[in-house]
Amino acid sequence: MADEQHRTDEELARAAKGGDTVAYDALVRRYLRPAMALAWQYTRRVEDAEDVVQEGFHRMVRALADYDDRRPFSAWFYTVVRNAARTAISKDSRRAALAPLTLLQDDPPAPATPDPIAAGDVARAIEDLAPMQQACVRLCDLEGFSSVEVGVMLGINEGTVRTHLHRARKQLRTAMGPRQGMLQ
Amino acid sequence: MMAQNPNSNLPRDPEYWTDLERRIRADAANTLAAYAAAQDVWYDVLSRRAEWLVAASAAAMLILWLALPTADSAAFRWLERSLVPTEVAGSLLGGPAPPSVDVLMVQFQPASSDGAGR
Repeated sequence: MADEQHRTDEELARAAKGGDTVAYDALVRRYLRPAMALAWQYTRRVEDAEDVVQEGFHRMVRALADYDDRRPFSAWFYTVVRNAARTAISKDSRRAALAPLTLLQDDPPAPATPDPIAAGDVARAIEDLAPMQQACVRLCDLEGFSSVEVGVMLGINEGTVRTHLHRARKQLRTAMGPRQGMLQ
Repeated sequence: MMAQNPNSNLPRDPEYWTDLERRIRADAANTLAAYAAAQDVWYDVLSRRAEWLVAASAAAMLILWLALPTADSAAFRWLERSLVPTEVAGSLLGGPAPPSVDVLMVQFQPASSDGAGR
C-alpha cells in the first residue's frame, strides 16, 4: 500500500497495463473522487455521475493497452471521463438541455440576468455563471482542487482556469453583495 | 484525503466511496486478468524494449563501422595475414579434383608466431 502511494500515475498505469491489480486499485483510489467531481459537472446528479465514472474507468482499463506511459496519465484519463460524460449526456437529450457544460464552451454567452440575492444562496448564484466558470468555481472552491488539477480535468490550461475563476468570483461578489464573505 | 467542503456536491458517506471503488475494481477484473495473461507471451518483453533494442543495434553498427580498419592500417594487415592466402584458395577452388583431407590439413595449419605459416 505504502509503496503504491510513492509510485507515479504513469508507473501505476504501466503496471496495470501488465495486469497488476494492486496498481489499478491505487489508480482507482487516487482518481475516483476527482472523476466524480468532474462527471458531476456534466450530469448534475450523483447517480448519473457515478454511471459516468464507472463507464470512464471501464473505458480506461480497456484502453490501457494503447496508453503511452510517456504521456501524463491524468490528462489522458480525464479525457476518457469527459468523453464518457458526453456520451452519457448525448443519450439523454432532456438532460443535455439541463446541463450547459455539455458544450464546454470556453467563451460562453452571458448568463441571464441573475437575482441570486433573492434566491438566497451561493449555489443559486453559481448556477447563473457561465458553464465553464461554474465548473471552475465548483471544482476549485467547492471540491477543493487546485487550478492546475482543474485545468487537467477540464482539458484547458491553468491560465484559462484562473481567468474563469477571476471572472466568476468577480461576478459572484457583485451578485452576492454583502453576503460575499461566503465565497472565500 | 482532503477535507470536504460543506457545499460539495459529492456524497460524504465513506461507505458510498468504498462501495463505488469496489464495484469499479470488480468491473476491471476480467480485463486486467487478460492483460496479465498477455504478459506471458515471450516477445512482449522484447516489444516493450523495442525502441531501446533498435537504438542499441544502430549504435553497435555505427561503432563497428567506425572501428573498421583502413587498408593501410596495422589492423588490416593483421587481418589480411590471418585470412587464407589467395593462391591456396585459388588452387583449391580451381583445381580439377577436390582437395584431400591431408592437403587441407597441411594448407590450413595455424600460422606460427613469426608468420612462417604463410
